[in-house]
Amino acid sequence: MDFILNQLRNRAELSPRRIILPLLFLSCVIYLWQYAVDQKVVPVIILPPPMDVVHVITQNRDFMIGHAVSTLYECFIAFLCATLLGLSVSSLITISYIARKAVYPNLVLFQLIPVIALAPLFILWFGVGTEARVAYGICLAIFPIVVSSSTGLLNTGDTYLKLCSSLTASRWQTFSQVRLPFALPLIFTGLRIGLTLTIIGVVVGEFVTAQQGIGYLISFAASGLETAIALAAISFLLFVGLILFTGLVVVEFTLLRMFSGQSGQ
Amino acid sequence: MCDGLSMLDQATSRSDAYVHADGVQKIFNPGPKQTLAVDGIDCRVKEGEFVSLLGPSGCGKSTLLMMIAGLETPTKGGVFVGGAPMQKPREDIGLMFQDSTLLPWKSSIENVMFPIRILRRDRKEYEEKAKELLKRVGLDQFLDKKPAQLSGGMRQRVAICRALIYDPDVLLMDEPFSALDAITRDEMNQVLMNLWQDFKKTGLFVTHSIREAVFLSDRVLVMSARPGTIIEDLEVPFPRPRDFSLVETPEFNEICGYLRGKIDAQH
Amino acid sequence: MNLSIISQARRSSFPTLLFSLLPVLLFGTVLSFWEFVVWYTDYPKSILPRPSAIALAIFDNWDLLTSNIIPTASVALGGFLIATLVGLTLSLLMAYSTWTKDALYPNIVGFQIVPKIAWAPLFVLWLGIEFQSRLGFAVFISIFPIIISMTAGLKNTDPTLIRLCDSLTATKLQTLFLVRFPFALPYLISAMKMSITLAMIGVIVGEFITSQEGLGFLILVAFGKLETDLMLASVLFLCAVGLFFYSIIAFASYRLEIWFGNKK
Ligand SMILES: Nc1ncnc2c1ncn2[C@@H]1O[C@H](COP(=O)(O)OP(=O)(O)O)[C@@H](O)[C@H]1O
Ligand SMILES: [Mg+2]
Repeated sequence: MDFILNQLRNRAELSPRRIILPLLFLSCVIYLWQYAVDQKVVPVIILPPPMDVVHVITQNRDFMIGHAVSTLYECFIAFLCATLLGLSVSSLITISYIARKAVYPNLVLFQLIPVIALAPLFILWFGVGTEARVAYGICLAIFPIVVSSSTGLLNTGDTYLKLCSSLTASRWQTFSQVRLPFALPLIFTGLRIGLTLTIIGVVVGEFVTAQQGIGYLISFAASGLETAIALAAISFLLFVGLILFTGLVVVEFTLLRMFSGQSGQ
Repeated sequence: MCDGLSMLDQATSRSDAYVHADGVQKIFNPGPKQTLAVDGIDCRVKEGEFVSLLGPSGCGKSTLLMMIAGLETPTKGGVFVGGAPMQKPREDIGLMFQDSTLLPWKSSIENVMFPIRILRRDRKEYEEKAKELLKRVGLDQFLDKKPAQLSGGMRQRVAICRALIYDPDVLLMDEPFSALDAITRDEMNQVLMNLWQDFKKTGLFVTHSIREAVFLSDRVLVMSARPGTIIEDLEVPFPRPRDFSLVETPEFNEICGYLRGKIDAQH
Repeated sequence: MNLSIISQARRSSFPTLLFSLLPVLLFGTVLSFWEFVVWYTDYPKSILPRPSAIALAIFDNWDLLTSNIIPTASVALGGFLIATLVGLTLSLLMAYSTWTKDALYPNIVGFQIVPKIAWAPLFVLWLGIEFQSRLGFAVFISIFPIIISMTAGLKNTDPTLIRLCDSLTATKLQTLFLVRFPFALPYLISAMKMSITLAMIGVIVGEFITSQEGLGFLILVAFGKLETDLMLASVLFLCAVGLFFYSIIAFASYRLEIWFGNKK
């Protein structure tokens, strides 16, 4: 994602070679793939020909869109909750000295817990429905959001803080006028990691609960040796990811432009 | 006091130039949004001469230096060093930058030895010389210290040693002391002056400081704002070796004042 | 040096001591609260076991737990090492040849936009339910941070330093290995931290799907028998494995700082 942002920023760097070469490489790979299947080098079950995947997509479009929308919805809700919760916690950590000293070291410790391994626990607590997957997604996403944003909020330049206290700014003023704007880049770094983890959480949740969503579709297709369907489902997940990331990037650009006067590009 | 024009005549009539930038021009990003960095520069430095290049920021001093070093190719004109045209970087040219560009994981002595490693020369032969050089600049206590443990001035001393270790004939320096504080800077000028006395290289030195330029150089060139051309070429008559008491003399200050006038006249 | 120690010692009066104990206090309070509430309300053990029950489960199932460490840890470590090696080689190749980079890099970046976890079932389909599929998936999921971060690191060398190398008539290979690569090492270390975490995630998800062996599998078994205490005990063991790997990399990072002369 960062790479694409950078590409957009340095549009001048985009020479014809840099567009043609990757496309050429991609076409070679797809050609080799098709060739390997045609020559029966690899069985169709392992690697279906590209056209089969396209065929599956066109034939089952509505069915797949249904599952994709479910995944998209759950990811969105989980990410929104994780963002709100995470930012509240890090604001609290920033504003209250005691909370910082008590919570922050534990946070670092908590990050070491492989939350991914807790998937069955969420089924125990929340059942096999949307709630379980959303809660699991929140749980995965919240730690990087809290850690990254509180790092950003706490590491405001010393001189700016001194300026604030010499102006007798209140804690809240210092927070909203100085700390928050300076922390924005790091907050969004955390949010991007958080979004990636939200998607991981929801998809793994779908693997485990086996009810609905793209993850369910993939694991169901793979266990039935329907590789073409699995690959088609993965391409739908790509769209889900793109929609979510595009939304986040738009918000980031808007906020950065608002606060720093520097245009997002 | 000095007649600039006659000086200029004198300079162009010199044919024994060791470093010669012959009518060079440099255009960056040719096209509608191109930058004409320097235009029609004619710059000659005799063998063993130390010449300073003064000029406002962005006038193309670094660009000229990089062309002489063979790191950029001029869009027009040519550069000759030691009679041979510069087409690509050569071993007989040494470079120094504003930043010391030391490798942070190497000690002073290893940093000085870095060019020897790149040039695949015999290590043993140069190790003594590296120590000798570092001692000359007063760093014999700091041979095994890493850059992070040295002050800014010390780092530039290491960088000077690194530029001298492989014995280039020409030393090109791009504002090497600009990032230092005023006192350290004076110190470094003295260090460089003393080294020059012993090594007798051909030197081209870019700076913003008139005082530094006059103190160090045999000749001072003044460049105009971009596109840079040379608008003044002034001989500095003081005998070598010089030491810092020179800076206080009226003659020294007269030359500085004259140069300041030339620079200010552009605005 | 000495002075700062003295002034630190002077400052560490009672309140500072209290503050440094705060995280421990909070941790202890939460744990006791958890223990007490579950005990007092007699909450079902299968939904939320008490901390003491988890400790007991560790004690009771010690052999079972320890025997499942090796399959998980070795596959994660193997996947991580392969990913690091291959990723490093690829990024060095791309740093050396701009043609390779222009052809490969946009595709790699484009490819990694797809949430990689989604490929897990396909690896099982391709490589079977033995360790190969988990290893393959661990490599797949943990290689991208290495490539992306190293490519950025190798590109970010101070341009003046590259000029210096050029002026010394250094070859491309010399500049790459003597200057650009060492400068990119901090990027490698931070990528490795991310990468080992992802390798662990890959192995755990792989164990969920393949259901053969390892701590992830043990979690699944415990879940099936509603032995939540054993499940959380396995999670704690996973924590220990992750912490072990992580601290090795953290140590490497510390050594690197010393090498760079930033710490002594
Ligand atoms: N690689 C480059 N690409 C485009 N423009 C450049 C490049 N290098 C220098 N310039 C431009 O050329 C002009 C001269 O730059 P420089 O030689 O660095 O000036 P100086 O060293 O005198 O401050 C500046 O306007 C600068 O923006
Ligand atoms: Mg410059």
